[in-house]
Amino acid sequence: MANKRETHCNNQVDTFAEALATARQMQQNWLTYGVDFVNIYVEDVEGDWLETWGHDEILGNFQLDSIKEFLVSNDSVAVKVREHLGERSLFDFAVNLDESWRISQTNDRLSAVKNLLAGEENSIDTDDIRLLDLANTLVVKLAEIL
Amino acid sequence: MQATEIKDKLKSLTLQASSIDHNLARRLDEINRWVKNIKPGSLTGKPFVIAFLLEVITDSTIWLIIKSLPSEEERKAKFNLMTPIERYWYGYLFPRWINASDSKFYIWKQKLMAGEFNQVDDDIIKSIAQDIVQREGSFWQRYIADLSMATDLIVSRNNEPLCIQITSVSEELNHQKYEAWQNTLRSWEIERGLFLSYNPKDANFVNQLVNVALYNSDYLSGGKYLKFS
Repeated sequence: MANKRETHCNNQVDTFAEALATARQMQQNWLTYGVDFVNIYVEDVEGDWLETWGHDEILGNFQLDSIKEFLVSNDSVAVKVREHLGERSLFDFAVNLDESWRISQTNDRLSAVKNLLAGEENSIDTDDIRLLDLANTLVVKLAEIL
Repeated sequence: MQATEIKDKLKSLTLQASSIDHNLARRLDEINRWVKNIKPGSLTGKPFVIAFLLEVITDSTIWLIIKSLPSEEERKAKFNLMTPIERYWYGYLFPRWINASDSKFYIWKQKLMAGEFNQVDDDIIKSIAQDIVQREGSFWQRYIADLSMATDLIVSRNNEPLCIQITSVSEELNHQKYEAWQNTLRSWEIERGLFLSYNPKDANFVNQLVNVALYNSDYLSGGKYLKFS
């Protein structure tokens, strides 16, 4: 167990040392080449990446992106959802929300969202007014956005 | 790497940040949407946008590693591995940028869109930084600091880091710019600042600017914003 913890710490040190070394090297490269330092890191600086930056999003999952965007926003409902989720992954929640929004009928959405908010391990307490209220406001919000 | 991979990195950092630091997640998401809206070929060169993005990715990566550490001691230990100037950036200014109110945050977008970056300025700042290093000083250059905090370079030698703005504007405009600069520094709660203006016709101006910068980084007292022209 002690070994495992040590390995974990070493990995963290390595990732951190690596990230700091990258920042320092980048600074050094700027000092030598000015803004042209970007050519060391990126092969196609003058390519069409800027013109096509948003293209995959149009083809991609617009709904999931909108959900994610909403969940990290300052909207009071989003803030409440984050507070409710606590340590749980916001990304997983967004993916599940996206999925359940696709598959469920409009009238099932509330219970699907309620289940997601309650989490897998917790049995739903139908008396939990607060949870029901949050699910309700979230469904209304998502219906506006999506 | 290919430029499109920058976008992938930005997105994966945004997701990572969403469970560690919501404000950073929001900033990164905003940057992604902002880049999408840049009109290609206009005003700002692609190298500057890439430089800005590389910087944001590098700094966010470091910040998320520190932020996800379980204890204050562990975070402190990481900051102790940094130079004083890096500590000032990652421990003070960068978190302020992440958590800044939107009105402050939008400044950089306007500036980048207005094409305020240019090769000549960048080359002068680079020459000054090179001279500072040769004279045993250290520097930190960040496009974020330039855009949001009116700071071209952060300089340090024997004292706390000093934020420096370098400008070649005329005497008349100079005063307005100086006032705006002071207000910006105050709003970020930057402790000490130096506003340097120079005459590009003077062949020795880089040397002079470096003398003033290093001297003041050593001796300028806290709470002072000094103008030198």
